[in-house]
Amino acid sequence: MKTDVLKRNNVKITGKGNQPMVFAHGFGCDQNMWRYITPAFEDNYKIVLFDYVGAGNSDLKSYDKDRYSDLAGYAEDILEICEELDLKKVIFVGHSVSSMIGMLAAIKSPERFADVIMVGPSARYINDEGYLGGFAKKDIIDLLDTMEKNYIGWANFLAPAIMKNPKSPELGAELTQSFCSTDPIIARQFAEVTFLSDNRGDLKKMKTPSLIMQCSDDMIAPLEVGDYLHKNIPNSSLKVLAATGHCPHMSAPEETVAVIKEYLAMKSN
Amino acid sequence: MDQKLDKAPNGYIAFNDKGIIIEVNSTICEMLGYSKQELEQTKFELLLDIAGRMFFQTHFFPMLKMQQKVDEIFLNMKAKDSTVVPVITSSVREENPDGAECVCVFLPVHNRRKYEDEILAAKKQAQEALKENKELIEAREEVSRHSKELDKRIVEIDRVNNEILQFNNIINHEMQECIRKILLFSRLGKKENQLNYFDNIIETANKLKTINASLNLFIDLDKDKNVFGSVDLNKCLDEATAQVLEETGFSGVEIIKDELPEIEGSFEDLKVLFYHLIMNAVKFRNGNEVTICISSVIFKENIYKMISRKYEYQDVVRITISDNGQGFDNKHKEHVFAILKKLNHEKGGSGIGLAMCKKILNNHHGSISIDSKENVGTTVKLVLPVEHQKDAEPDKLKPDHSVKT
Repeated sequence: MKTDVLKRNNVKITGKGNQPMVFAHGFGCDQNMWRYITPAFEDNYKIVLFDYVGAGNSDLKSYDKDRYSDLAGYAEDILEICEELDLKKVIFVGHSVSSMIGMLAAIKSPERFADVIMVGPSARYINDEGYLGGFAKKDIIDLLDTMEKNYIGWANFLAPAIMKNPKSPELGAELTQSFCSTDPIIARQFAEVTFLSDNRGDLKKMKTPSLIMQCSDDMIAPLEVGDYLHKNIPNSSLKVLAATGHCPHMSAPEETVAVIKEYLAMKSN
Repeated sequence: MDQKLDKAPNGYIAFNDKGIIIEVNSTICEMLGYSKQELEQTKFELLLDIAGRMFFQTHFFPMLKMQQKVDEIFLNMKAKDSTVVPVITSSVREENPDGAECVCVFLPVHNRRKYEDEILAAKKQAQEALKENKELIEAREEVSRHSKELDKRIVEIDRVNNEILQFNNIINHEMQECIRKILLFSRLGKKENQLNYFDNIIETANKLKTINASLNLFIDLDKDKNVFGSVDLNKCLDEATAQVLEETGFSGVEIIKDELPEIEGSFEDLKVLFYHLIMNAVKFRNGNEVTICISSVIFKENIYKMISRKYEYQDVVRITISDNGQGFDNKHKEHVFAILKKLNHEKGGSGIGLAMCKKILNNHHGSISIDSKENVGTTVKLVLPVEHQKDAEPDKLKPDHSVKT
């Protein structure tokens, strides 16, 4: 039985151009987070938006804890979407952990990608000898704990209700319409896979040109991380944004759009 | 500020989209042990523990920005004296002409947190007990081992079936054709009493011998396929290249190569693989020189090839070997791996080379693909696992595959 990739990942295609721009949301949200960014590219590009399995309106039934036990599984989703839509010369824009997911996809199938644009990337979140990621292992465990506390009601209540009780539309509708809705159990595993990941060894394998967009004050990806990435990813450009926080595409969409446009214009010259 | 809000039983903080605190009430100041002056114009985030800040960045703020409100979020706040104040917060965001404002109220939940902690601890304990159940772990590991073995078996059965079909084809056509010719020439020779038919008979018999030898080479690959060890692919490639150069006496080869990794496999078989690939590049060169570019990259791939919805990732290396030779029409890209398939009948060789390469890759649980363009060159891609997992009870499960010859 063939998987319906477009339904699984709730793929949405807009835009008037030919060259595809694939936007990948980060941990904790869904494709809606790109809504302030994509209008600026709709005239010239084909915009491809999707939700990872477990986020937004993706098909929760397709979740497989083994498949998504590694960022490689998420990268596989991206490659399958590209294959299904026969996308070439893809400009991949990934937020947060999606930067590394996009990089893994580009390492595996470099023929599909023209550029990888990384918004707030990190190669590893936990500090290590000679590497500053910004977090101690305990911080990550505390985060999982915070998530669990916030989902305490959801996990045993609402989420199973949506999956098991289609006859209760008002409940389902409220959750599916709420932006950034994620399945709590899946979100927890995604958090673990994300924050315990270590992609430092993969950086040097990257052949596709890339842009690292580093916020000037981002506790999730500190300045040192941006420098580290730039130093270790061949053919990468680094741009430090005036924007602060981890979500410049939401807090400073104008600057984010301008930086992406500037990079793409420089590339086409 | 309104007196009632200032002294309300809940903490109150307003901050802008940059997270800078604009206004606070007295209650929150008491809760955290700060003065109003200390809090205003600082970052809201700094009042949270690290996990809380991460949650704020990845969930709270995106949600607030997009749905303009967030309800019932649990966070740990940090008081000035570093004690933890667990709170429940609800927030709304409002866009004003002079910028957006996020308004949050906070209720301390010390007791409730203790209760939730207990629930979570009980839940975790139950999960741990399940996770540590020895029988369950063993059963799961066994299922996983057998699934992997089954997956490999399905791939292998597929390959063997394909080979049998090809063998059949060779026996029924190519070999049969040789036998037919030998009989024909023998009868003609006898009838006409002519000795010159012997030349035809010898030539055809030799062809039969070559086919037989090729098939044996091919079958022999199965015999020692389990002798796996650590293989330095650089050394393997160097030795294979030297062999090609010695046999052909050709020296116009330039090899541009990345450092290749060490993998687990059969050194001898992988050398045969490189030998055929380099030999093809030399044989089907354009003019008097050939440049061969060899690069490699390691990434993760699902170990399961046939069983759907099973996943386990392992490191594989992809080796790309490109030449600037004659190339061929890419419509043959699948056929070239067939046993005794030859696209170019003028050049020597048995047509077994790429079939053997494919078999070697199969024996290593890897894959081979080829892409070519006439007069531009050919690119071969090999994907090989870096390490091999031990099979499940190999003695019991492995039947004898070797074909007796």
